[in-house]
Amino acid sequence: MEAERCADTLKNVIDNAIDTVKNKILELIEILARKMSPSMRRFLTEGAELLHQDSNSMDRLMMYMEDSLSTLNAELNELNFERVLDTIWFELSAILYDLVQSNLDVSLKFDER
Amino acid sequence: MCICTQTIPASGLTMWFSLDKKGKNSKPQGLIKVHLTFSSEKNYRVAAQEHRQLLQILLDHELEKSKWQPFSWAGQFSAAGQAVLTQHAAQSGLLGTGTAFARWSVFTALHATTMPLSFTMFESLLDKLIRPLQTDSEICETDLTSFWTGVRKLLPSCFTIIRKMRKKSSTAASAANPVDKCQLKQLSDVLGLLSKVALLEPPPGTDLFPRNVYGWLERESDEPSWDLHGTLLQAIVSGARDWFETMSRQQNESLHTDEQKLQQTIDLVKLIRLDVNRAVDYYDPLFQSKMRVPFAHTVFMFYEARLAEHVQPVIASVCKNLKRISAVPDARFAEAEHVELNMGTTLFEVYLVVKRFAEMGPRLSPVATEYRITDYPLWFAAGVTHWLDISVYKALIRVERAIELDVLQPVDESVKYSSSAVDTLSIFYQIKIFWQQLAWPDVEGAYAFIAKIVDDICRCCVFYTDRMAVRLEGLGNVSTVYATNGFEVTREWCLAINNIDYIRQSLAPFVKVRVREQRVRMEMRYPVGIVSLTGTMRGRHHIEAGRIPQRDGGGAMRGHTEERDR
Repeated sequence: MEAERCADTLKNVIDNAIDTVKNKILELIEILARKMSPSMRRFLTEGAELLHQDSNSMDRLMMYMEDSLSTLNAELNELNFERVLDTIWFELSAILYDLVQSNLDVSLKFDER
Repeated sequence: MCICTQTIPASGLTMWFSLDKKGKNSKPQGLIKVHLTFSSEKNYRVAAQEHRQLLQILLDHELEKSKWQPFSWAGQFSAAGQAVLTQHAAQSGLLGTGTAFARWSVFTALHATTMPLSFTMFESLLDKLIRPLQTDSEICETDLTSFWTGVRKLLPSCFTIIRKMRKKSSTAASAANPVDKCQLKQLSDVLGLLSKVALLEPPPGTDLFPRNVYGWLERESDEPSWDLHGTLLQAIVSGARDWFETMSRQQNESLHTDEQKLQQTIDLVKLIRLDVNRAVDYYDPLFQSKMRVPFAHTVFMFYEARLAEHVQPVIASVCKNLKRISAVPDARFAEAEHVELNMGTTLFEVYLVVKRFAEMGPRLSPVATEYRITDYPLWFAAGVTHWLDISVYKALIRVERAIELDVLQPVDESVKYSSSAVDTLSIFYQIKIFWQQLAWPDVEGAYAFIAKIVDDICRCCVFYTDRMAVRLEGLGNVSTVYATNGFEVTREWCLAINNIDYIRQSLAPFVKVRVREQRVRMEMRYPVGIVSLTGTMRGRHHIEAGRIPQRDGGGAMRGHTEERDR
């Protein structure tokens, strides 16, 4: 019984360490996505402002996304790639929400005039 | 049958003749062995006395004429001398046995006083006497007494050879040839001689080992003793004792630091182990075959008790002085901690040499014996925690270096992780090797050490993750004319994440705790494929940074920080 208890304790120590490291990986993935976000925001903002004008910002966004995702896809394992993808989507949706929100504010102000 | 007297030499003649009847058709009827010798009747005691005097004079002359080395004269007389002796023996009616007794008496007396003679000669002389001594009841009292007097004169030199053989071998021997061949031959002769003497029983009351001659011999009583076997065992122990004292006397008493004391202890144990090895390889076969005495085991039994007595207090005092090592590593660790690290390493070396020595015991004797030195792990118990601290301390420093040196490129086309991941696993592996080398007995308290190792490895793992995150700071940042906070997803980023994931996945199988029969044992497995990869990595690092790959098994404790500092 004593031995089993010892083994359980050790197993807990190991599981704890594994969990801690797993969380660190998630943290790093978040940092990665957050680091991508300024560039994505810039391309989208430009695209929104210069829509219908002779702008290639959408192409540039797509290129940026494609480059990034293909590197991630090539190097990361499936699970981590999924995690990154999720986090990027999350960042992207936040950016889009901000963008739409701020543009709505602009339109409202414009209409009010 | 006709025999011509002229054909018979002075020393006599022994021949076979065939017997047949007289007549033409005779057939051989048989064979007869005839010993023919000339002699004149003489009183045996007078003849023997004369012969001894002759031998004495001729031997003195022989030794004077040619300068013989000690232990080398083996019965060679000049032709003229030999002729005189033969003639006298013939004229006095002395038979072979009679002359052999005379020789034994004269030669042993000279051996004990003037000049040691060859043991080979004594052995062959004894060969001639042993049969008559065992079977012939008509041997005269004088011969018997003088024979045993001769034995008493001869034996001290035999035991001196056995007790002092180390001194001789250490001067004449070299590294390639650790034992002098002539000396081995002499030892073999001495043992042969002893084994033959041991077959004979002296007359009652004979004391073969008088106290005034055998000062080193411990005797239970003053009763006359002729226990050859027991004396031989004591001679072996006495030789070992002298050797041990010579070796330990060479040690410098004035050393003050613990480090120096430990170093001396290592040297002493190594020297003694060398002596046991020499005993096993060279002396034991001789002693076993000639006297049925377990030489190596006898020597080991003596040494192990003395070493236990000698080493244990040193270890106890060093362990008492050990200071705890700070848990947080700093690459620029203080000089004082350096001393602690070295001390622990040296202590570990002592552990290993003592362990190696203790392991010889069971190999030397199939009989289960209680050795004092078997308790050695208990002496070091306080040191183990310290070693584990050193082990993890060095591991953390090495992990940090591994990350610094990592260029975040795959180690191989087939994998998606880089050098620091492989290096870090090999660092974990070193901790495991350390534990294996320690081969700690399965006693109470072992669990605490295992728990510490598991915890330490987990700590290293988390530490790796943290340092890798720090390493990534700034990587992939791009600033352009449009923006300063641009970022590019790079391969380095991906590999860093993979590295961490790789370490994480390897952790559980690497540190596997198995419970069986109420005992906790730790089994750490190395992921398949890592061993070879590590080899490649080391080789690559070696080329890149001019570092020497560490192959030494004791690497967990020594050398790595130095190696990486370069």
